[in-house]
Amino acid sequence: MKEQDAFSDFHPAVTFAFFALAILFCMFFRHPAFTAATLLFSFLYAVSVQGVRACKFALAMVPVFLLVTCINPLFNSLGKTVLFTYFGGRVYSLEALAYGACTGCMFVAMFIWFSSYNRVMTSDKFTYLFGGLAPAITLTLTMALRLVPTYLNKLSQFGHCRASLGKSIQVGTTSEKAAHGADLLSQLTTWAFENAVQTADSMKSRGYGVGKRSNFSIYHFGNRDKLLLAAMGVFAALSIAGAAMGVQEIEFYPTIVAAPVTPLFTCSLCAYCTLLVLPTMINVKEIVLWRSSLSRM
Amino acid sequence: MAQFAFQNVTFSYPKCDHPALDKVSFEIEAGSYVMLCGKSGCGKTTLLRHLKTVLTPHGTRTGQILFEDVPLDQVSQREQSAKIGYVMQNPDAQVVTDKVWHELAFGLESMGCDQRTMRLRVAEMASYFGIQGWFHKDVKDLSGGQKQLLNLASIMAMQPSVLILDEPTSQLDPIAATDFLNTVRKINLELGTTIILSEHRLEETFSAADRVLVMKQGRILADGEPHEVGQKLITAGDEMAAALPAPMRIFYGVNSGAAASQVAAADCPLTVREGRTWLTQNFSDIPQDKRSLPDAAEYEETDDNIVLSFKDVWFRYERELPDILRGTSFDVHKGELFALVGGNGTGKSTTLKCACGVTKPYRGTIKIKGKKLKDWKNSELFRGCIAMLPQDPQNLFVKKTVRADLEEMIDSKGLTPEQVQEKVLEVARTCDVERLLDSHSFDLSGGEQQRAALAKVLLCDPEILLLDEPTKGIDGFFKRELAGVLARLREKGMTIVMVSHDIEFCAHYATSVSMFFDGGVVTTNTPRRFFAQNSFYTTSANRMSRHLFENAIVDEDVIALCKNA
Amino acid sequence: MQERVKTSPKVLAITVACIALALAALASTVLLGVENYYLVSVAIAVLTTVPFFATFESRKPQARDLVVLAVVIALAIVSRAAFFWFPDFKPIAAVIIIAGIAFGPQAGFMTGAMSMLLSNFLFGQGPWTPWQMLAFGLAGLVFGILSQKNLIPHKDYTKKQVLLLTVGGFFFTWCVIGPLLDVCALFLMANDYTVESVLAIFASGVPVNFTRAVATALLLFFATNPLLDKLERVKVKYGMGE
Repeated sequence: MKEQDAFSDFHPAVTFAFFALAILFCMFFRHPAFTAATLLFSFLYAVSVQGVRACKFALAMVPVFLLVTCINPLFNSLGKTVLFTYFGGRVYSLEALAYGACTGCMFVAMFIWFSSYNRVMTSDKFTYLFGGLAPAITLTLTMALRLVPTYLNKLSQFGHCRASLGKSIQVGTTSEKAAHGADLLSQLTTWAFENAVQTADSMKSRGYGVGKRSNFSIYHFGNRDKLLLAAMGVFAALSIAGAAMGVQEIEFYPTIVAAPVTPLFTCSLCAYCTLLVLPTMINVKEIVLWRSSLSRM
Repeated sequence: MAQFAFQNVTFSYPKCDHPALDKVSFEIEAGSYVMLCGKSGCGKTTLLRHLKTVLTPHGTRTGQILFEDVPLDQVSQREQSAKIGYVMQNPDAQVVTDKVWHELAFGLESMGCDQRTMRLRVAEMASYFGIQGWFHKDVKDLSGGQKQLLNLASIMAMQPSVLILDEPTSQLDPIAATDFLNTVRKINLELGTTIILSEHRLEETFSAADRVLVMKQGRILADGEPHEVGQKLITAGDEMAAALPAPMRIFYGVNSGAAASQVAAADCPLTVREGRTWLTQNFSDIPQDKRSLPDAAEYEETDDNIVLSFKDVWFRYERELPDILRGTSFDVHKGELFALVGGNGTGKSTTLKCACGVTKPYRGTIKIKGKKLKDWKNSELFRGCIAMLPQDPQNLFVKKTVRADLEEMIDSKGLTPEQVQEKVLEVARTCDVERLLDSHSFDLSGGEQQRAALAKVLLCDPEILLLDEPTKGIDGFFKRELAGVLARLREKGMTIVMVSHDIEFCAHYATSVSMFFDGGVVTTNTPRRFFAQNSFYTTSANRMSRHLFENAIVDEDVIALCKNA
Repeated sequence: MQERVKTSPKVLAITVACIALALAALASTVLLGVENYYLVSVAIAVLTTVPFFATFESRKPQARDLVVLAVVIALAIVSRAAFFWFPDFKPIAAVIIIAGIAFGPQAGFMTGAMSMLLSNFLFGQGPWTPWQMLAFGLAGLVFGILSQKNLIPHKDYTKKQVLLLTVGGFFFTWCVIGPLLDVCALFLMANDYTVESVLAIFASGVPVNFTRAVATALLLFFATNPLLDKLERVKVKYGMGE
């Protein structure tokens, strides 16, 4: 999968900036056309990163979408176009349904963005980005990230050892099992701190705390990063400008009234779409390049 | 100018009446390779920790420590961090971050190095130590040997002038340990970095050292060139003599008694190669009939008294993962000390886990005392039948004190508190942990933890005892004590199955040895036949003498044959 | 306790700025009618955690402080694995509460907030991350304050005290942490609210919150004394986390 995702090879700052913009805009731009664009491009990018898994994820999101869509009219009786009434007069309106659909779209799109984010912005990129701002905290995070798998492994060893003395932790009443779990955790705590003392020694021994720390990285901020960041900046600015001038204004209740489609609207929407499609394009381009270079071999 | 100088240093821990370091004085020249040895608890670690201020333990201290002629406490932390590298015992606990590349740069980050310097240094280190292949890996995916190498590399990235290593290989398997020690040797030879190494694997390091310091009860017992130190230990009749490399022990075994002080120390062989030459020069004229020890009886594969049997056992941890056990079959007879030897990751430990039902094979049968394992009830199996001592004894300690941990194992129904204590004391006596009963389990040394854990396991009152690497990380003395405990248990009729990397231990104490490879037992034999047939995977004494003698596998064999001539 | 260390001017400035920004965010919805409640609330959640993080950074924590924090965070995260045979047993809040009692409010908050940040690295970040950080951070903070003010003991709980703590932890998890997380869902789901929609969302959260509270209570009941004992040993033997 790795080789499909050329975008994640960009500098973490660029990747992070993209996701921050995409997710913020996803929540702010609530005009149906914009939300539809968000959903489309978030899905396309997810497919370019995760392939089939993205489709499965999207399918799993369909019930969520339906739920959010259908539930909104139940709580909101403001719409004018009545679809049906229930509970002796409560209104189930088209407008509320439409609004629900928009919210549902936004919801699903956001989840899809996050699923890609989790794939691309790995913990080491995150800690690198914030390493300068909060060195102690990011280092703590890095350390804890290393400890979690160690502890999980140790817990299973402890479990095996209990079992090999005939004190299996999986038998007994619920309360006994809970007590076993607590014992296991407290055994792990002792072990963890005994080792932690050595870790602290190892840090001190390698000069932790003797002065201001610098932050090593394996990332380069190259020309293509600058270029992409600049492009993102321009398209984001255009999208925001449009929004600020009110092209996205829309009222759902009592009837749906949207601002007229002006050239400015089109322009803003196009800029937004271009911004969102950038990483997908980069990924597709990479795949095409590889294919062609392979065929030449 | 001496790089380090100890001037009459005495140190005691708080609330401790005898000093941990007692009037210690020595100097270490820059670029030398110094080896520090001594029995566990003799003060090696305390001494080494005094070489770096941030690691120095709390307590009362007199005397002075100089680093490059300046009192160590006046050398800035920054300078000490960069110039004095310190590698500790536990490969896992020393690693701080989650990525290999980040760990390599950790010290440089502390120093506040700029990006360009760090990139260069990290690249250099990764290349020198051969880390390129796993540079991007998560630390969790490394083997113990790789982790320790990473610790070393990350310290070397700071370009220290002295490298201190405190039993760095005690948690590694023999192949990883040799690799690691070779790398340390290479650093000394190629970069001129001073090495101060404490080790209990003298076999490999003794000959490499320029100088050996032997400690005993906080004092320096011997200090000098390896040959001289060896002779001194032998003539003084010190117990450390037993830890010397096999060629030395054999040399002084042949020249024993008064002869030991008369031979020239420099004639003594240190390595197997030198040992072979020495044997060839002195004993090649022995007549053929005196070159062989009586061949031990062939290993008998009888069907009598089988207490544990594996028949065509297959096992894997998860469905997608490869098989660990691939048709393992073997029988263990009552009263044996059955040793399974073989490389890392061949499935030896898994075999033990299967034998006590912690993991379940998907094919094949395991029988215990003639009854299928799955037909045993848990309560019967672990009460009086089988028990396992895990590789890491710490895994067994759940209570605050050793006593509480032992009490936990006793089914106190129908017993008075006195009877419970009686049982605890009895098992503590067997394992020699009586005086440790009220200590916190984690405050014990490695060998003591091993014995306390064994005591806990013995309270299951097993007929079959499974031991996973019982000699890992413990020194020669504790090994002999352990062997004593095992012998006592066998006298009582216990059967012991042991997984081990420790060839010398198996050669000395096992009754039968099995070679484990690729998920199955390749061959089983008596230790004498087993090791006499192997040419690589065998004891030092055998490798040293196999061109002249037959069937000599332990020191005593070679000495006897030499003396017989 | 370290809580009394003088606050550095930089941290003070950051704190003031955060409070001002949080008030501004609040004002933007209340006075100006900005309708994106989720973003506003997330901004407030993040701004609440920042001063704690800044204080931690400004103290130039020692190696042992970092190690202790990292260990407690990792323990909190793996705590659920110790109970793997109970599905959905997530006693993480209990570990955070105990850390708060042992190490004080500041460290308690850090443990809670960072455990959530880290756990989301492993199980996936989402729009809920800032809220979770705030909610679980509060657990550490509140019990840290209680212990600092000597309203609850630091260690050696009697049976009765354990029971009281268990009940306290149960209700805190059920009635404070749970609803806080529901508010996140609420703001995320919709922008116009009716009484019914709000009630429906809170009601749908009740079972999940209840299970979480039960897990927390169970672990507090069984592990309070042993864990506090061990943390105490660490403090005494190695001077860590003091």
